[in-house]
Amino acid sequence: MAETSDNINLWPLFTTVLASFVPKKLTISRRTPRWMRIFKKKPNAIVIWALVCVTYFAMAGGIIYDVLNKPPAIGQTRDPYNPDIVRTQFIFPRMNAQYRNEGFTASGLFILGGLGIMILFVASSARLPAALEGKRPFFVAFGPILTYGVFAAVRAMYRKKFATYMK
Amino acid sequence: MVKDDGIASETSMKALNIVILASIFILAFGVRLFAVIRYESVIHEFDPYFNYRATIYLIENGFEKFQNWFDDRTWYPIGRIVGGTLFPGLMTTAAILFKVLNYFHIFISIRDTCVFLAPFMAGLTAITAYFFGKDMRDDRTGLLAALLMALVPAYISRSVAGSYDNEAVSIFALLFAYLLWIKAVRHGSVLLAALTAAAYFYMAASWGAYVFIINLVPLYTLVSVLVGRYSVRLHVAYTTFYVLGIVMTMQIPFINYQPIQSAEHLAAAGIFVFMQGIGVLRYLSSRLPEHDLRRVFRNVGLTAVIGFFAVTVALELSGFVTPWSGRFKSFLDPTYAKAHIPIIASVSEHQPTTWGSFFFDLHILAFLVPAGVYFALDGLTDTNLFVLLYGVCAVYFSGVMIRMMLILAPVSCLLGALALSRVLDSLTTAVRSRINAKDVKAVVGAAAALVFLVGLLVSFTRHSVWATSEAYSSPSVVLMANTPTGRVVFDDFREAYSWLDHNTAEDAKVMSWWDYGYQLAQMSNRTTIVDNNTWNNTHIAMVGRAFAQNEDDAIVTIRLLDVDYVLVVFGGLVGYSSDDINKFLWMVRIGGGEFGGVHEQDYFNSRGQYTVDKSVSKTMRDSLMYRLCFHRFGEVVTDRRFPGGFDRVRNVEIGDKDIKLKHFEEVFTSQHWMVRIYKVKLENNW
Repeated sequence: MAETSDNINLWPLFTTVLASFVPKKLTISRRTPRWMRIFKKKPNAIVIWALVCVTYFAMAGGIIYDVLNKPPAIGQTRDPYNPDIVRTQFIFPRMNAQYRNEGFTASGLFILGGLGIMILFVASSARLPAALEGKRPFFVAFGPILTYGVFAAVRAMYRKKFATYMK
Repeated sequence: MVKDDGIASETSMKALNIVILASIFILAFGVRLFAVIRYESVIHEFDPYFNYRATIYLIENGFEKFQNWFDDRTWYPIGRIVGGTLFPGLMTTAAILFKVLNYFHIFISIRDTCVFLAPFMAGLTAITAYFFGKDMRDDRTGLLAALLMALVPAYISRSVAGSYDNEAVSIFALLFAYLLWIKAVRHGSVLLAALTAAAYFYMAASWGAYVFIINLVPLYTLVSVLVGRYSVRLHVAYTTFYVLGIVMTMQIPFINYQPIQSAEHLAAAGIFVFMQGIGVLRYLSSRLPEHDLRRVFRNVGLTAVIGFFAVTVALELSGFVTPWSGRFKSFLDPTYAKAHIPIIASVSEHQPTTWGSFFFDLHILAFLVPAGVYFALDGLTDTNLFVLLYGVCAVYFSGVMIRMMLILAPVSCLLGALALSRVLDSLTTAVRSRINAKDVKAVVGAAAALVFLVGLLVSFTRHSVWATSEAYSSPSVVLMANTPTGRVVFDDFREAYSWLDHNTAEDAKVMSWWDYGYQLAQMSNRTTIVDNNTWNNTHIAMVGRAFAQNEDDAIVTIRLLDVDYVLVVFGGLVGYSSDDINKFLWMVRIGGGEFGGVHEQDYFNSRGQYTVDKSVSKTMRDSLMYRLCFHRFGEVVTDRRFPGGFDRVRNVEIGDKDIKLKHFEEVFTSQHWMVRIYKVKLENNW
């Protein structure tokens, strides 16, 4: 438990801060504490979906690869003819290496594509709120176009990494 | 078949469903056959050769001798207790299939049974996915799930024909166990829970990832209770499954007493106790009056929490419970393996995943998984909650290790099928209702969206077949390259192994790096020093250090190990980049890490680069691996722009072209110089 650092001893600071959290009376009250009451009500499906999407965004973007191998956010090359530094977005030609930005871009696009499918579902079912009824054809068109656009973008990104990718 | 009361209430299979499922089975089988059609029916990679050798032993000697098999022709001179250190499920499945086919006078050789076992199991997995999808929603979802499961590249990559590895049967066992589990929870039936335990036993017999089942099922139980979905069905199912599953898995010699002793199983035990506690409390709450109840809850709750912590701490401190093993600890802390266990960190399958692998292995499923999560949350049932939890855990684990993408494959198919099925249903209902209302524009719009979704599936199929054909169908033991004049085949490995088989003594001992151990043992039938099992780090470190030291120091270890032949893999002539010089730094790290005396920095040149050209450091130039790989290579002209000795992998001209070996004699170099075998000269006694 002796996790004192070499330079400054933070332990006194920690103990004084923690001491202020110790309650004056050690009882178990009848009413559930305020912070626990959030968990009583069932949350909306979208809220849980958003939390799962955060995990998916991190993992599919290769966050563990980033933590272990510490690639730069974006690459640089120098052209012999161009005096400026040119930024490269994708590591080529490897499939099992990435820059940080390209990873998170891809996983953000994955989630957007899923969103497009969800929009298509809501638009084509009775779920659509009555206020948006007139815009229904717009949403039925928007969902697939979003998903297709995102999918084409990811495919183009992948072609940058894997030149002979012929789908 | 158990009567299924899913949402669509179909209790009998439609004939159309049977036809579609049969064609999905044939599709799953057929798409995995590229390597067999292009080359021949040969076993791929490295690990499957050990499984093949073990299957031959099992079929020839029977199950009891197999359980007690001590192999003295590997890990010389230590030997290996094979019976207690492998998962027998794969070999037993292949042996049973072989015996059954033989009984019906269908004579397929053992090798062909092993080669085609994986595609067969993949077809069965697709059928299991159908039943899973049917349980989630209805048979249309099931059919979509089966189709996606048959084609998902992540699964194909580990189950092509010829990939005779544990995952071939264990993904089927995993999905089957989960299917039985959700059916057991839905019906609360002891029989189904017992069958779940039996399927879990089959999974535990096949692959080390059985730990995933015994952690996901308790996690699902806990989350169910916390979300408020506790029911007697869940209680009955989990209790039966846990007790029977733990007892059954302890019968496997490799697993031994881990189910009651290791930290990986601790959660299941804790949840077991927790469920009994919850059951007791619920019973009491139906009997006791209100104020007594509060007092009982408070007292029992406090005692339980304190008791739980005390028991856990006591178990850990007394050493009765072993801590998380290194392999599984790297799931919880991914930086652990890189810092502490170089052998685990060096395996390419254990590297973390990049977005490219996600897209390539899942294609449209990478987009459909978030949508499927929403649809699973929308209208939560017991099954949907399970698929959701499985999905979240699988996404996390697949981010840690590429190999774990295999675990993500089934659940991404299920979630994707759910999403597609919901959207297709709502679109087709919309089309039907709009046709009745004679609204042309809406019909056209909805039909266009339908065409788009079908286009997604078509694109997925095309990608899947392309990925299988180009990326996942290489046998690894045979290499193929496309040149302008046609296809060139590099069969150097098998050439070298059969040379060893025909030209050396029966009891000759061959030393090589551990990658080639299994293939050597099976194809050349000689005693090996280290192989892919990597169970003894010290032994591997001895071999690694021997390769890294100079000839006079290395020969001491080599003579100590009684080695007759040394085998190295060299890719410089043809440009094969997975050769021993590229793996050499790992040998230095592992050898130096265990014994000291060899330092990685000494093998870099003065500028700090790892190179084999003129500026090569003296330690590197004197090392055994350098000398064995580049012996006589200075005489070979590989590229007309350079004089002899241009290494096509490192793209440099080698530094030392005149290598004279003192203790070794070259006896074999394969056609493309990929495998080189040296005989150890006998000691001069004067």
